Amino acid sequence: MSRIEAPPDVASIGARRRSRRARTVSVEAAVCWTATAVLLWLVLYPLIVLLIGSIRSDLPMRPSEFTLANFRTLFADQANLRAILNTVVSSALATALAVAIGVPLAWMTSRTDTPGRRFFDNAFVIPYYLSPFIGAIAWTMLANPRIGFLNSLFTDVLGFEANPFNIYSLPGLVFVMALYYSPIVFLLVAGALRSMDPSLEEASRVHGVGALGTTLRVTLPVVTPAVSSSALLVFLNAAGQLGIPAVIGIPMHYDVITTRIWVGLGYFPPKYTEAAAFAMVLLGLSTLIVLLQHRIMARKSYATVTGKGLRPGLVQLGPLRAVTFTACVLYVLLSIVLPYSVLVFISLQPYLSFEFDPASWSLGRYAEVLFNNPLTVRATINSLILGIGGATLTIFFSLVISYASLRTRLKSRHILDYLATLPAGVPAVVFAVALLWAYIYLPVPIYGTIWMLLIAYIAHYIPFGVRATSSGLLQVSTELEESSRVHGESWFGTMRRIVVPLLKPAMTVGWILLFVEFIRSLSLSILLYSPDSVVMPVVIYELYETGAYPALAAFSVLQTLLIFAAIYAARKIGRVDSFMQLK
Amino acid sequence: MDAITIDRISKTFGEVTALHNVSLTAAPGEFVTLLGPSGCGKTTTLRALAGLERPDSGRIVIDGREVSCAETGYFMPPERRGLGMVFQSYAIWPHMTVFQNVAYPLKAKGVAKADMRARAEQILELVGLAGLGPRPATNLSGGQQQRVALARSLVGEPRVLLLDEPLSNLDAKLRERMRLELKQLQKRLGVTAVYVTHDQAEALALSDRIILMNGGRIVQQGTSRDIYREPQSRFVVDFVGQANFVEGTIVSFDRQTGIAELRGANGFQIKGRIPDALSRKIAAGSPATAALRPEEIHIVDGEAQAPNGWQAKVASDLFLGNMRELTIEAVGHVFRVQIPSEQRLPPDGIIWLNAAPAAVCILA
Repeated sequence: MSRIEAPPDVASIGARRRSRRARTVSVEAAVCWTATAVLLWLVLYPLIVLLIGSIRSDLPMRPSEFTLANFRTLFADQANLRAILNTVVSSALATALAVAIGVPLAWMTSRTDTPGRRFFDNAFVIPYYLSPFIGAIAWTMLANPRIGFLNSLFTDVLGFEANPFNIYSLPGLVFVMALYYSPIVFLLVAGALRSMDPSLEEASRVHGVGALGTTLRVTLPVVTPAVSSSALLVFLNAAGQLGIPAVIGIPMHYDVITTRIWVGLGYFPPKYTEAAAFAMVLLGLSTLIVLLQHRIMARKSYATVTGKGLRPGLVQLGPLRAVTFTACVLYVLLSIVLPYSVLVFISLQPYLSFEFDPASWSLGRYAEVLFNNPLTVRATINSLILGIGGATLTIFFSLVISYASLRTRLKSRHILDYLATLPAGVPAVVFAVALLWAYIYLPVPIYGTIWMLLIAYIAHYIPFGVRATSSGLLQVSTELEESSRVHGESWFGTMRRIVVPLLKPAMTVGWILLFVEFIRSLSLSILLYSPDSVVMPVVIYELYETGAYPALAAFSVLQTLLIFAAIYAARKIGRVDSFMQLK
Repeated sequence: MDAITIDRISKTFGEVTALHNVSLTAAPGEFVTLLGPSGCGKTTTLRALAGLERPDSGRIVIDGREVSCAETGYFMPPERRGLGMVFQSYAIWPHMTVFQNVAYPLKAKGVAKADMRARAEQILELVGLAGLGPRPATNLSGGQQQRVALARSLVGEPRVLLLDEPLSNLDAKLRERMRLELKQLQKRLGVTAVYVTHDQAEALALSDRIILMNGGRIVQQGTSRDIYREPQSRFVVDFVGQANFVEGTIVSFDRQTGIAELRGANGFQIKGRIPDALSRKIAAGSPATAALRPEEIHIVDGEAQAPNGWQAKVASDLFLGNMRELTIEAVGHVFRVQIPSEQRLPPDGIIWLNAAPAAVCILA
């Protein structure tokens, strides 16, 4: 960082002093290079260790050799092959069902006169913020084959002979997965439906095709790229997640890759090498999905965006409005109202009981998890530290990465951009195994501490932060920064006085997303935590396993409230919706 | 001493060479305009002056201080160059008030609060925005935003003011008024101005000197009159004002008077001046182009005399309010001609044209 302080007089243009050879390294270049180095360490290092680890006979820092035995033993075990097949089957079925739920819902709220569509628009996004894993736990209480609430309703009130529902089945598993991943489809498809040029539909109407015919022959085909893109995203999420199959799959001995990895590492002796090989299989599967997605994105030329700001016309449904309205209500009931009602109900009980007895209700369980149970108290504190501190750290780190890749001509900016999106295609379980391999015998004491979780969260969720800061930065004209520089403010001063204030809405949105992910992240946490660094989702799972249902319900409700409190507070502070649209 | 010296700077972006050895100077208090089509390098030159681009070679001196020298690797960051700049989009910070925007350069310098307030208010008054300080900066009309940007660029009392197409976002009427105000303000403050535009009318009206650029090089520089009257290449005639072109070969060239005769297709003969700079390159027999501005072609009563007298037929007649524009055909060539709006034409459309040889440019 050398800068020449006193430029010489120009009187001697010819006699240029040769001593001023030092090239200037600007602050921004130094900051951007540091960001690249940190990102390389966070993202690439563990993945490389995993890649090498999958063909080594033991963990790093231990005597081992190159071998293909890990994969050989992996594929020799029938149970493992079965898990791979189950992963593909359950994810594919869940994807199909999520599309079947998400696309009609998106169409109903964006393109029809379904009553209450503004309300449903907001309501359908809520499950996206909720923890799918808690949803799964709630559904085991609703549709448990012996004691589930819904089953009791059907047998006791409606007079069914036998319990109609069994959550511990492939349809049950697929149903819960689809329920909580369909908001992804909804968000993408609704976005595409709203940005589509209405004249495409108007042309169809003018040339003699009715409203529903136009929907089927013009509207839906035009948004196909959004549908297939969101479907792949659902598949990626479904195949890589641990929570739902752990809650519903394990009790019925239905193994998928993620649960096999986790169980394999959980019993002594931990199967580190098998986990690495298994993680590589899952990584291969998700890489395939990501590549498919890129091909779709590259071809989606006909998802036209209108610049005219016209509101697309709504389809007048007439009597069918009752049907679409019912469908919307049903989704809200199944994804939000029923599961969370049952959780609240159970959380108020002194012990697990399905009797409706308001006299016995109390807030005792909440007091217990908040103050008396050292495990839940520690988990709450840890989650809050990681959520607030981690999200803040990540969003500022994301800002630097976005700035370097969008605003500089540094050679490293393309690497940065790639590295910052890479973890989005790596399932959390795979990333957790990679981190385990990378840090377990590292001479620096990180593994087994809360720092391990912080590193894991930042590295895995950096794409969320960068997406938010990049889209924000793209909306800010570079002239606003250049003007600040020309008028005497340094690079750092410009970041502080211009860029950060202008990006406040975008950074707030990013911060909320990160906080939510950090608070609810089960897969990373459960593979990397230690007794000192327990976090909320881990404890929720432990309470579920030990059958402490009232405490579990209270703690789950608390976690959910925390997520909503964060969304509310950040909206207040960040004044989202203010000058976002300004260039 | 010059206020600005740019000495052979070049800049490439990937495969594209944006600037080729561009050199120019500006005297203190001079209004210099960089004019040219988009992609000509004018904005890159301005940004190199501002420190927003780093030239690959060459050297820049502003107000006696070297700010950039590719050979020694010295590069002064923009904030230390002490400049004022008006951006095309105005670059008004939307999260600040008018006052905060205008006082920004003073705050960066660490000027005391009371002084800052006084100077900011003074400059706001100067640009005609007195009393608007507390307003949110986004709550202003386009013309007012433009004035805020101007006030901000002047508040630090820079010696050099850079302007990047500052009037292009205003509507036509406002643009003409701001043009006048800008020129008056610049002369009053004595600040050296470097102005970038692609609008030739703006350049002609504002500049002490125009530097015309094309393809990353300086094509010609001089006063507005020089550029308009003494163009040295077809590009200059074409870019600044309108012109009719006749291609042909030189029949004769009188080096004493600088007048040459050119013969085009169909035996069309025209006499015109050859600029001094080109006189060495042109001789009898060499190919050349004659350029006639539409307002220099006159319709005469009765038969026009040689030289440059032609019989022609009117093909179309457009009424433009302050004048008429005719498309006429003479000896197989089509010309655009501007005439007073009330001039009468013979009913059969057969007319006689005349153009003074001194008003015709013959270019290589």
